[in-house]
Amino acid sequence: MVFAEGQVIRLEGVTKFFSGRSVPAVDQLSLEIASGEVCVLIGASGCGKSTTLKMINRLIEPSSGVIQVDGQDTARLDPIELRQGMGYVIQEIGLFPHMTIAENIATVPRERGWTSEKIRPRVDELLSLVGLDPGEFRDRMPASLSGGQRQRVGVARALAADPPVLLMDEPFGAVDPVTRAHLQNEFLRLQIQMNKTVLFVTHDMDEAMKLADRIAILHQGRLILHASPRKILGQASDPLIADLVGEDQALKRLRFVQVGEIVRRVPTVSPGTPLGGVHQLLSESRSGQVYVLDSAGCLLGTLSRDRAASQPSERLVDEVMTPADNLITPNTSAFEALCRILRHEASAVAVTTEAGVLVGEVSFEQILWGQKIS
Amino acid sequence: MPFMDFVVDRIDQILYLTGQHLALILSAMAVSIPLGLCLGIMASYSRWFRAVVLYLVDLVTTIPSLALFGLLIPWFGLGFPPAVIGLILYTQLPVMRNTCEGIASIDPSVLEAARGMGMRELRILYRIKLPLATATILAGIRVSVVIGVGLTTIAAYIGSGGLGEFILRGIARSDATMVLVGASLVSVLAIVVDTVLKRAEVRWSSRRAR
Repeated sequence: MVFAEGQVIRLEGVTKFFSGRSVPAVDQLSLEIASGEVCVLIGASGCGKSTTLKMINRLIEPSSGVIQVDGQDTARLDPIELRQGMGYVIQEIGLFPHMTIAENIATVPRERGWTSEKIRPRVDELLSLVGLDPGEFRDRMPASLSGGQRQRVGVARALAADPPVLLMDEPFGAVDPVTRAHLQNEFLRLQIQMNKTVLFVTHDMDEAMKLADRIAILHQGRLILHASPRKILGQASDPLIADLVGEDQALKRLRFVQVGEIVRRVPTVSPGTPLGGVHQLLSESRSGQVYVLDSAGCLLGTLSRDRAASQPSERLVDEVMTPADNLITPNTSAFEALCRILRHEASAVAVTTEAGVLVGEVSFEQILWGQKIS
Repeated sequence: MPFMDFVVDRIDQILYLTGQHLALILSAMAVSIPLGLCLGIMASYSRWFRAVVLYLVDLVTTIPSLALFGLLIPWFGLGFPPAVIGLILYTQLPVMRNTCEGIASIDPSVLEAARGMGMRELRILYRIKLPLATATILAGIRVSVVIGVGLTTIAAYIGSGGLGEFILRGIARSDATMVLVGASLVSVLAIVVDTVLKRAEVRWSSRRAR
């Protein structure tokens, strides 16, 4: 099957009963994943998230309901062709232990009858893509790789035939936290390049928040919320959602607020002003400091009330100011700004553009109280 | 030394009977290995089939070997045919059971990944399942060949020939040397076959750890 770039996946009233169980594993689930979107399915174990994923590539057949990929009813497609058009990554990875890394990655291309002249460069390309040196890893066996390296190979194998859809079932669940963070970052980097439609299953809300465009929360087989990470944090009053999000949801929410949204204007002075002329501004400044700008509006430094009071008033501002450091840009997250404030034991941090032009400042109070959640 | 004299005197007969012994085993294994593989593979797909076949093969193996050969005589007479058929029935179980178990013991995530990527069942069988089960299958074949060496000795009772002939005739004539030569040759044959096949197994499994 030849899919176009990215695919819409649509589930309509999908229900799955397993034999011998009276309660459905998945209950009337309707969900749409837009082309190029990363949708994370999350919920407690047994909520039906893996079952949902496996119904999309028909490893499990739904009891009722319709699943469409790119407008086509998957029940009418050949399951083999359907699966070859979807990369599949699982927590246990499932590398073939008797095959080399290259042979593992070449699985789907070989199933599709690619020639070895076409497969070989593709394998090297994929190894480089997932950050493994082809020369070193091509001919190694899976047993000689670390967990993180194996999962990279697992991702490369899933991407081998460039499928427009990726199904990932807790892919980073079995590696240590540091490796997991690396793999998540690389996944985000790859996704920007590849723009796949991704359905990602996890039970880790932090992972979901980090990777998802939208998060679908499942509880006992039902979809209880399908929204952006930021919206979900805003609805943490719902006990089910609060349970998943955890105690630190207020802090997590800060990751989705950019300082540009909460920045406030600040008093500024030019470098040549004598200290005597800034006492008025300083007393009005909420953070107790003024910002020194050059004629282009670029930040040179800051002057605090205490510093100004300890110096004779005929001295010039640029002689006594603290040179500018500890700067952040408007697209920095409020979480990072907060970390910066705590680390420097400051009351506020200056926000400048990439070019250094002052936008304003963000203070501790603003981060805590000033954020508005849509 | 009577042992060596016997061997030198009867070298032609020894070679002939050893050849006959091996021919019996090889003929039986030529059927038994492919049949055991097929049954084992089928059993790995169907729990029901597995239960039935294992029960039947187990039943046959429970019958004492001499009795089984005896039971075959009314249909197949004496000599080579009933011996080979008895051997096939007996050597079936280890091959079949190990094939089935070798496949069953494959890490399920490997098979899930293979299916999830869209490999066809037949391709999964010969690209994934059989290669991964080979070490276990080889062990089954080894056990079955060693059993075959022993059973062929007993099959001499129903006139199939082979090295059992020496033991049988030796006992009948109270010729201790003849019994000893027959028994030693059969033992050495069993040990050699076991060692060679074990080596093949080791060589196979060491290919994987690179």
